[in-house]
Amino acid sequence: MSQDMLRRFYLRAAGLGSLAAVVTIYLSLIGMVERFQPRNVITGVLTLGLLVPAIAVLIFAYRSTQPPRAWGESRPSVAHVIGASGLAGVVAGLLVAAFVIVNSQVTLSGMLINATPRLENLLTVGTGLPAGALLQVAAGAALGLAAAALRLMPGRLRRPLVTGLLALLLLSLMEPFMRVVLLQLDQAGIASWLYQSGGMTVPGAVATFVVVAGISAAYAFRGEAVRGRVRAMPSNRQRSIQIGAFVLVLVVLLLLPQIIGSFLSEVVGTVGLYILMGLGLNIVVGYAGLLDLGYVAFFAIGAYATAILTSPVSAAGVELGFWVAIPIVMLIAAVSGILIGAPVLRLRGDYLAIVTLGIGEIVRILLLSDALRPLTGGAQGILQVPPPELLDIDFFRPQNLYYPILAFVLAGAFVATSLA
Amino acid sequence: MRLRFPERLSFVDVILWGLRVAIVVFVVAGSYATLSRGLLGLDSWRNLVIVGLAQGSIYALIALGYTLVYGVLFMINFAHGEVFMTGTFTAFFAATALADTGMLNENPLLGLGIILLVSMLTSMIVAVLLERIAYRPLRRAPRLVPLITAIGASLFLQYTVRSLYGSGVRSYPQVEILVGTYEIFGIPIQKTQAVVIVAAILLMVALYFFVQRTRTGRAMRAVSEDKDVAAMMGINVDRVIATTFAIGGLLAGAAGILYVFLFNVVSFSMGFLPGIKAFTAAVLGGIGNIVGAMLGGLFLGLLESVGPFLFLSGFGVPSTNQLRDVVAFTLLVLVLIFRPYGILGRKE
Repeated sequence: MSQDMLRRFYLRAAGLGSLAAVVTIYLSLIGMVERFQPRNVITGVLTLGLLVPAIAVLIFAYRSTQPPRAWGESRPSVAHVIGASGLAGVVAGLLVAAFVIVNSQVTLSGMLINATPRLENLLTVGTGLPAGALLQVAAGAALGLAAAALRLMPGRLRRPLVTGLLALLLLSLMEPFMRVVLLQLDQAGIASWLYQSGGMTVPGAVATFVVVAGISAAYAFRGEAVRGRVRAMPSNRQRSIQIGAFVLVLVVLLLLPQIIGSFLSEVVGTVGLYILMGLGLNIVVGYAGLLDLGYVAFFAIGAYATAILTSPVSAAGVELGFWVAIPIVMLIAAVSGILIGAPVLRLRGDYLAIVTLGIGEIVRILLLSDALRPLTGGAQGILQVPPPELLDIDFFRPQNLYYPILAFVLAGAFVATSLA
Repeated sequence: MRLRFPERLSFVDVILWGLRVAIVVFVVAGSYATLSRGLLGLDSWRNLVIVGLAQGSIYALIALGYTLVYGVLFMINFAHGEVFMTGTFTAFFAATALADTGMLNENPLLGLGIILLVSMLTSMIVAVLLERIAYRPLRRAPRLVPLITAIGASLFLQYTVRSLYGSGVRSYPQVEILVGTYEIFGIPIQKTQAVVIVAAILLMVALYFFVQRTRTGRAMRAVSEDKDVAAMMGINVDRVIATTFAIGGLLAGAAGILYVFLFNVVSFSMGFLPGIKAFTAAVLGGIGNIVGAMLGGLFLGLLESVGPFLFLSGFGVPSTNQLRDVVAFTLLVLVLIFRPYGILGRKE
């Protein structure tokens, strides 16, 4: 690279390092670093609070080793890659250290509520000020060198390494989920070997990394061969493999509430509701191209209609069963869709968005208002809405409510794919 | 409006006509019912009108930001409400500091000037950064993309301020000289309301002269007419756009302080509703039209203040003040459906 280009290269690295510092300081000031601190990634070694800014610095430093395509084809030499990446890391470390020093001298916490001594303590890993600042710079340099190493190593080494680390991070973050599943499957032993205090144990972490990196490396060497063999199979064999995979997924979905327990079943049930709404919104925004920002008004109308029709204490007092009420509610929601949609059909894209936003807000305010209190219950809402009824199954249990939700999601997905 | 009977009346036309008739009947019947029942005395109505004018002035100032940006970029800066909020919230800390040292009441004009400056500068910086980071890379993207980005930026700013400054509602310290009432032509008007209306009018007049009489204003008008030709004429389009955002930010910051004179409180979510209402005002007056934004703001303020009681109390609806936002949003929806180019705009 030419002299001039080298200068720009290093300047850009310094800029990226400053950006990394800005990101770190931002994450600290909004309280994310402190909030994530109690979460162990690898217990005793690494916490989430420090990992997130570290990853940010790493990414920026890595980016600084890749000159933008617009600069031409010349690539920096090994020494310059290390130099630039290290510079980015050091700049980041210096700026964060400066922030910590300023924070310790000036009381900002009246205004910026997270700029507390606790934060200072956290960012310096408990070593207090003069040592802490040097530690920041050193950490920045180390991250920069790590990024350079990542850049310089051959792709066949880098990919398994990164995949292994990502899998490690993922498995660690999934601790609440995995632990519940393992306990339900009577594998408490594995659970306590893998996890401790919310994070992974060191042996568990190492094992995970080795296994995943190994699989990734093996796939890189042999994966092409396997894929080729699959593609070479006759199409009805491929088809039966696809069907087999689909059936497997279906079986897992059906068994899911039994393995994950009550709380997680409720979480997955809520996920199912959001999937249903997303399917509907995809038809409006994706298939029809109408940016509807007030789509959630239909959710509200459907919910209130169900409540009014099924609750014993509602204004209508009809107390229909859930399954009888559903078709009526769907009809009401569809009609409201027509009524809301017809006037706005002729509007241009961004005006449509704002009109629907306005309509959504109108619906929200009206439903909460005192003016409609006799019907909607005002801010309190409608109480005692009964769950679905089927053969004495207790649908208050999230594990049971999951199944109607799953049924509706599958039906909705079928409708959505048929419309495509 | 010339009466022309189209060959085929489509389903949508029927609904639209039904809507027009329903609105007219509703407004007339409601107003008649309320007025004939004599539910409010003359001074109460007068009070509602003054409050409406004061709030409307604030909406007008924020609406100018929307209209200016639409004029040069043809995009709706959804995050403008948050620009308004960040300036006001940051100035809160300046105000508290000034109140603590007693300067706010010993030297109120200087104190208020400093607070106003902090608010306007913060809003301006946020607006310019917003344009630089979120909108400039999307200059050539299809129209919906900057809109969704703006919504995202709005949420980002709201929750950044919430995380930085806390989620609580803060009260501005009270300024002694602004407490009390004036009597103008026998009509009592609170000092804060008078200051808000007068300050807003001064700012709007200043902006009008800036856009009409200065070189930068002329450049802005040129860019809004035709961006490419303006560039060919030697105008630095990027800089003009940044200036437009900056001016919008300055006005929003000033509007924030006026808002605080009336309502006294700031919170991270205070920008959303005024933002949407100011956008309504801008569209009502004809988006891209500066005088339209001013008139639209005042009209919206009046309608929001007087409307709920006037239209609804006649029907016996309780707690009509909860429904002020409904009136504003209904106006937004109706304007966009029936007259999207606004009062002062032209059908394109």
